[in-house]
Amino acid sequence: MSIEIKDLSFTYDKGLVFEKMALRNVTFSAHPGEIVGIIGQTGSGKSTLIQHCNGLILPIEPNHVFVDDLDLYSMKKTISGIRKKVGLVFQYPEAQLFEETVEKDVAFGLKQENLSSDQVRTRVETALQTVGLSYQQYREKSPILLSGGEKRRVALAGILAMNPQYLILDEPTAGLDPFAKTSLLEEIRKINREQHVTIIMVSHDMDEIANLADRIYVMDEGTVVLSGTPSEVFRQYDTLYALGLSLPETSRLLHFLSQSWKGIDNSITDPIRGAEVIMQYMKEKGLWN
Amino acid sequence: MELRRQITLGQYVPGKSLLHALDPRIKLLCSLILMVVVFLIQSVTGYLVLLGFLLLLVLLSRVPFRYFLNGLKPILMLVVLTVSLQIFFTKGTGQPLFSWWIIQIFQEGLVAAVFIFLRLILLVFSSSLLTLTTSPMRLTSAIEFILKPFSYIGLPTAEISMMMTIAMRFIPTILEETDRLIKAQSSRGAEFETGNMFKRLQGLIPILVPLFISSFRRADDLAIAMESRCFQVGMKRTQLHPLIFRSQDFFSLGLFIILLSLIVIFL
Repeated sequence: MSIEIKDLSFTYDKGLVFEKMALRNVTFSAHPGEIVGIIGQTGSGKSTLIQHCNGLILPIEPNHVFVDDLDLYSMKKTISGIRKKVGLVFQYPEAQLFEETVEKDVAFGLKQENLSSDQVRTRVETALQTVGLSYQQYREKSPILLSGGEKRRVALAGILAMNPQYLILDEPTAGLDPFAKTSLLEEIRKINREQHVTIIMVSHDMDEIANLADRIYVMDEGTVVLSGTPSEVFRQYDTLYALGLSLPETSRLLHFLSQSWKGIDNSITDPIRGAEVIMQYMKEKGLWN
Repeated sequence: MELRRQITLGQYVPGKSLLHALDPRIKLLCSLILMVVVFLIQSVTGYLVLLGFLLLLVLLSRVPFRYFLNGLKPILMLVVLTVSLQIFFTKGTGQPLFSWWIIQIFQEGLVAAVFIFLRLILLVFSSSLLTLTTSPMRLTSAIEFILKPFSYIGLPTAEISMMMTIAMRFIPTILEETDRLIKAQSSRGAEFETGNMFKRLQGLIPILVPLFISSFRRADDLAIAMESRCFQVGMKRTQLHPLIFRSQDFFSLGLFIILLSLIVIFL
């Protein structure tokens, strides 16, 4: 039971002047309960990859894209079931709000499921609570008039209301202020821990991805160049720099130190753990008193 | 389902062919002449020669033929409708070629249908030739040039062409945004391809409302950007790449007129 992508290639505008190869032989997986991060420069194929995960782009050949062992190639008619199971939150999802009230907007995806109005109410209430908005306070408000961070939460709640087993987030924190960013990340972690939702997250913020993800895929020009745990991936400084990607601040610091302080553990990405490693190193070498 | 890839109307295919290099004003004039000529010709041979001439121009433009066929898609229904109207409802003088129940087909009807068919195809081909080889910006410059005489009678030509430029500029942006919204709403369980007419129309609301909101916001942003670059209504405007006639432009125009005159006179 997981999302499996095997040896997938995809070309936009095949045969036209604008032909562009977006994915080349990509192999990718997300297992239950995981938080999987995807990083890479703009145009590296991240968005194309995640759109394959919920069938927005259907594979043109069998045996490449599987969700819970179902080959999406054979699911053209029943793809809406997959889209409920795999919720995808686009970049700047606040642009998709359209109903008059927050309650109606969050309930939009539930219309297709034959639920009673009580059930819908409960789902909406839970979803809004999960993203940290009070149902009583927000249900009657117009989504258009909310602040940027609130809008994004409402959009996220709209996906969560469908009770997805997988949640794909395309740069969920882009353009938010630091406070909204931190609390949104906290909620994403909570959704993963408490509701056991598998999360796939695309981000440009290395610190955010290093601290949240269990595994990371690094993409460049449509291929997966690196993959592994955050400490495995962020140890590859040179490769990442060559790809035009930055490092988490802590990794940068430790990488710099490791050039003169031989033997310091530079695979740490968490700032507090990093500080501990530095203190310990200094104590061992007698530099601390 | 990607709209941007389906809508080819007014699409431009960059290239370096002779037709691409031709002055857009000349191209605009030529396609206008062509459209008039399409209705002047009275014989099937004339049409076939004209079609051959257009196919030659298509080859010359080096734009893949597929793009021209795509241009025909939106008017396919229109073609089918008019052609069948001509076939079934033209009353001829002689014996009907075919008759069954109340349906009678006359020779005149078939001839008229072939004419209409060829005319529509030629019209689409000639307008496609113009838009596929001319960037929207150059095309608007050309239209502005042609509208210029009307500014003396008070038509705000500069503003009209500015509006056209802006509209052209935002067509791809809005198509892209529509694509994005369709995908985003499909991810939320919206269905656009099933249900009856009413349901499908209702399905457009989640697309149209956000599209309107973002278009208004974009218009606001654009207005501020233009004002901060000192845009003022009614000022005289210069161009970064002004259109200049070259000798080959006049030569092509001359050749074009001579060829078309020959077709009209002799066929």
